[in-house]
Amino acid sequence: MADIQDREYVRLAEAALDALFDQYAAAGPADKWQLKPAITKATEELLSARLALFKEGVLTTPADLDAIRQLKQDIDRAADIQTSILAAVKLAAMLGAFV
Amino acid sequence: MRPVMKAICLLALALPLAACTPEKAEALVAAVKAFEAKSNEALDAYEALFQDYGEIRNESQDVLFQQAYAAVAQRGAGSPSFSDAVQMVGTLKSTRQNTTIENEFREIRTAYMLLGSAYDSLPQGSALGARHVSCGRSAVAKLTLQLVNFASDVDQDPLYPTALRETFAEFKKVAAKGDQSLAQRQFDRFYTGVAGYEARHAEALRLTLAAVEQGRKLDGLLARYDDVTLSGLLGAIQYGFTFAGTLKGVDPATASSRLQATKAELDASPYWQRVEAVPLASIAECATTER
Repeated sequence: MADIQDREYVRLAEAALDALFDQYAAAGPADKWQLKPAITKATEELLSARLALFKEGVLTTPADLDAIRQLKQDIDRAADIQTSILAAVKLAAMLGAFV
Repeated sequence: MRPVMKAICLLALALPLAACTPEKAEALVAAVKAFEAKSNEALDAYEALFQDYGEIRNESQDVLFQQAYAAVAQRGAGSPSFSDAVQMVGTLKSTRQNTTIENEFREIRTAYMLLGSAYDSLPQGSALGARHVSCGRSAVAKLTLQLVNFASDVDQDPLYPTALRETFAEFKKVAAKGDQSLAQRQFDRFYTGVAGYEARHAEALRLTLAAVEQGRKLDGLLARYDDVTLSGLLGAIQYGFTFAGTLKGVDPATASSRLQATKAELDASPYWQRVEAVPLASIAECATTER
């Protein structure tokens, strides 16, 4: 079974994805075209992480939680679409490390 | 009438009440198959929830054209790559994602299938070996506990579809612009989507509770198999179906609290704590070495 830390990690990842969807919704057509592939990849990795959590739990550390909290802040503060794309790619990579 | 129910009814009619071991074995196979069937119904419900969790809404062809056109106009012809374009337009990615979910659930279902197949040959045998009962009991208990854990995971962190996240983000953008009419439409879509998800979520919990009840009954029967009568076995299977019927119409909050109560009860029991430590791989051993 997943522990409290794993659950917190997934909730933070979902909040980070929500922030990316907010930026996608607010972006112009050209920026949307650029941002969507990275968001799609992050969504895929989130699905895999949730499947792993469902089956047997994942092993997150306090450092992982700090990293994803920091990433969520980076997304919230992103000043341009390139920063958002980079954050989405980082989110996908972080989630991908747990499956 | 479902095949398992047919088998139970036929057994009830055909077998004498004072049953000998082969008939008890036949009834036990029916009980195991009933547990397998109920578990599969619950797993189907979770698989569908995961499909929606991982699915991003596709933009229409018109919207994609506007985005690609704007990207080229803004950044020049070298900007949108061919691979980005096919990823945006094509459907291979989502197909791969669905396959991932199917593969994961196929792996989960294999254990339930192995349990069912482990008992297939029993009625042809003259006696039910003590080791077989013990091995089967461990497998049933492990899979029952696994179902409780699956339901608990989804109930703690619901799998709201990703499309709902997109819809809510769009609602916020429109509301921030002050377009109340469009915001209302977006919010209605969001509201309906949440209600739709929660109905399916509750149904998955109800199906799990029914499968868990069947599993716990079966576990109890296997614990005292030598003393159980044929009618006792058939009654237990019948009870499983009656119990499932009582869950119809149970609201999401009640289903959730019943699940939590079941989990707390199992977590506090030394027997179920030992079951938690049993490796899933032992089910495959049970199926291959005990036949």
